[in-house]
Amino acid sequence: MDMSRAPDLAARPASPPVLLVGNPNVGKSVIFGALTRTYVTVANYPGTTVEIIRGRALSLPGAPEVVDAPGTNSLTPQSDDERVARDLLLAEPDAVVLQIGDTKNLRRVLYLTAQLAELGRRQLLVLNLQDEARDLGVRVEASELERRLGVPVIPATATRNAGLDAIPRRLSQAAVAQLECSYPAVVERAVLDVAGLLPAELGAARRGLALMLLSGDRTLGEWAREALPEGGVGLVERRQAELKRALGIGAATAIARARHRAVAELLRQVFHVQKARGGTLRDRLGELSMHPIWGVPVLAAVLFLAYEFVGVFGAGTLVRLVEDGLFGKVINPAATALANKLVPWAWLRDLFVGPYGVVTMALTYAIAIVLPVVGTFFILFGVLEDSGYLPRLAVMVNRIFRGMGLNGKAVLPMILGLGCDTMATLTTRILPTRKERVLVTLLLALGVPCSAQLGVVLAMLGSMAPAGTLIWGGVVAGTLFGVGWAAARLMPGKGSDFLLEVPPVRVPSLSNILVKTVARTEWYLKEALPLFVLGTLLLFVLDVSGMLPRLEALAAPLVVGLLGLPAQATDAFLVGFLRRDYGAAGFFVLRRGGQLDGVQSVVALSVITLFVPCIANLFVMIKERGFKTAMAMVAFIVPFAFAVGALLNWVLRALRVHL
Amino acid sequence: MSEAGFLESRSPGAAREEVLEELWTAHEGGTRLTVEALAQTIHAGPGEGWGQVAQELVERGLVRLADGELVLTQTGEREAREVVRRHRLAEVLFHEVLDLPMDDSEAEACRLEHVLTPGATAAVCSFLGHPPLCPHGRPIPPGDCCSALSRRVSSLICRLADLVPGEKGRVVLVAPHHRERLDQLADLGVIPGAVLTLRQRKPSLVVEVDHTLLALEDEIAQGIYLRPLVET
Repeated sequence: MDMSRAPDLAARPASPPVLLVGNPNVGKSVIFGALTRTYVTVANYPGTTVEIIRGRALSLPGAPEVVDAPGTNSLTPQSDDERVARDLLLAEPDAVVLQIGDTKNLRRVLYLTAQLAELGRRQLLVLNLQDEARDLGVRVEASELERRLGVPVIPATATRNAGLDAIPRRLSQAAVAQLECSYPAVVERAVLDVAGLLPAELGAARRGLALMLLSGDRTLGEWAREALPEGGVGLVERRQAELKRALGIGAATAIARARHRAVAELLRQVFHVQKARGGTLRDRLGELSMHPIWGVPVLAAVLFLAYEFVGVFGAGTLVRLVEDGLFGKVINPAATALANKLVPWAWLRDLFVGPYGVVTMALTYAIAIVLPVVGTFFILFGVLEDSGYLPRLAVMVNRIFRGMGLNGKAVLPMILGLGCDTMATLTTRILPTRKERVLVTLLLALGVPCSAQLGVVLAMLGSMAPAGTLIWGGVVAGTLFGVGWAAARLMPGKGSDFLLEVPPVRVPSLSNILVKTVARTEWYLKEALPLFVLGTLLLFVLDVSGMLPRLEALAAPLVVGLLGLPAQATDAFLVGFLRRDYGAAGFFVLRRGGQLDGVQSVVALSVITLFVPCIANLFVMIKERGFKTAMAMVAFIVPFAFAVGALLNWVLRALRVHL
Repeated sequence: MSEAGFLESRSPGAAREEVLEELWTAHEGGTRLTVEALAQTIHAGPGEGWGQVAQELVERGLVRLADGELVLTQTGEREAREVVRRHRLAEVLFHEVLDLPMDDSEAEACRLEHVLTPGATAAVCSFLGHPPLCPHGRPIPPGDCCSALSRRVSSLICRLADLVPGEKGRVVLVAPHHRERLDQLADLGVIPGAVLTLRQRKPSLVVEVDHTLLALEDEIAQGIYLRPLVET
């Protein structure tokens, strides 16, 4: 998702850039927003700010560029996010670091400060989330910490805009923190050796870099080959092996321990907890939402609210308003009138306002039917993200996901897939192993209906007995788990175990959710609208050239014979190759026209739900997983979807089910 | 260590302990051994000299002969039990905590079983959380330290996964299956000395370290050893 809405950066300001660095979920993005007043993604789920966001901080002296680095717990990265943060630090050697920390987790904050100091970075330290710390009885002596570290320490509660005014005032006082870690003598000697090999222009950063190299940071590989002289990499490896022999533990562990010792010493001076955890309402909610028993009703309540908001309000009320009102009464009549007046040729008029017209079909469909559904879903997803519910959901479903070779972390792309599979396929990057990324990509493509499709499917299912919804849901869920289970066992490679930070439950900020929804919706329209137009053009050409009936005849044995559907259903499958919600909409029209009975509807919807989501999703699959893997998935999914449909049709007919 | 010539390389005391251990294991499996069978099957390495060792044990009153079969006396059984206990505890230490391959763990345990003092054995047992079974699934004979603690329920050292929700512990050892986890856990504050509170075990294990909540796979929690703390 490209969200770098940088203001005009052509004239690069004279003052050095400001780099926001901090642990995940500490309100970094809120502070970025306050400094720049431009859009930024703020989210609770680790991994949602992989994109780097830049802006111009007009409120700071010299209006420097501000860069929001992904949250990181260490400068020796354990994930893509952390690597991006570390790379940013190395790429911007002159930037002033604005370190944002969660006051109550000062230990982890200072652990990062120690590493910034070793890189010789000038910094400020913002102790954010003072309100949460106060609730827990945590008190940090900011002035004493400032005296000891020698850098400005600024207590703040960013969500209430408290304390942030000190940032511009104190920016010029940024300094390298004095937080020295005493490493074992053998480590110090190795550091001197390695630092001596590094180019002199790296200056004070050499010590930190030497420590990173000795920690065995493989992600530095390419950088190290460039920065180190001939044979340097070999020397680092020898020193590592020597340290391991001398210390009995890995160098990385010894270095981490020394840092923790130094931090613990400082904590004793400035960090006080006055009373035990009070147990606020938010804490109780947080506990209930991942309780083995109460977590289930909480999940049911969330699903119910989601259905009411996206399904009933978005897909019902809003769609009626926009489709019948705006498009039915205003835009389409106006466009038709305009076309009649300006365009003399009937076929060209049809291209815009005919049954397969760009305005009357593509735009109407994209903006009137899909946009309200997707928009409300993005609002919901933003609330779930910022409230801290998603990681708790991951805790709930971890065991279920284990059966599919995944872990709870995969719940984020899967839920996001209910909004938009294309976007979800992009977020599979947060999963640690290739096997997991491939599995989730496959499952998303196979059976996670996006909100656009879900809206149409639910509307159609709503017109028949509840058993229809149950059968459809059972077939899709069963297929997902079955394929996931089998694929996890057939596919080589390994999954990962589950280690996830669960942020506190927080009340989402409305403005934050709105800007986020706007950015996501904008991205969605940019992605989807051209495809709607393309799909409509394809149908238009097939229709004008008289190809449609021939294709229908060709597919008849499959569609009519095996699936037991009318021949016109072929159209829906054809466009289903472009977007499966488009295909579902085709069935919707057939159903409304009385051409599909209950069983046929359920069969048709099951097949179209198991289709590849859309061309955009296919492109992203190719981009993320490679051409061969993506094609293998499609080659599996399409025949498989029809096979499941044929089987379902046969079973329902054999059992004489009427819906 | 079959062809290593155990009898030549080790002290007579260690050889006697090997025989006691062998007899205990055989008894556990429901079989009795003659001197010939012992000399042929002993895991420390079959050989001629074992008959001599068995003879010594009989002279010391640790073993008696019944119908040509070797049987542990009461004193012999007490000693055998301690050897087996040391051997199996050492296996747990090397295999489960230090992650050595089974063969190596076995070999190390064979050496350690002859040198551990009673005090050190109790310390190892407490460190391991008084494990009931060895990695092969055979029972570890409990020592005094185990029964003393079973009355107080809690043990000196246990795994994070063994805590009851709400209980706290101070981390003494982090030994995850995958090396990278060690650094990742350290970055999140899970290091020796840190105090962890187990919040819940199901549907997934959640712990609190400082003021951070972490959800962990059970396998990771199996590799975190801590000393339970009593709430004051």
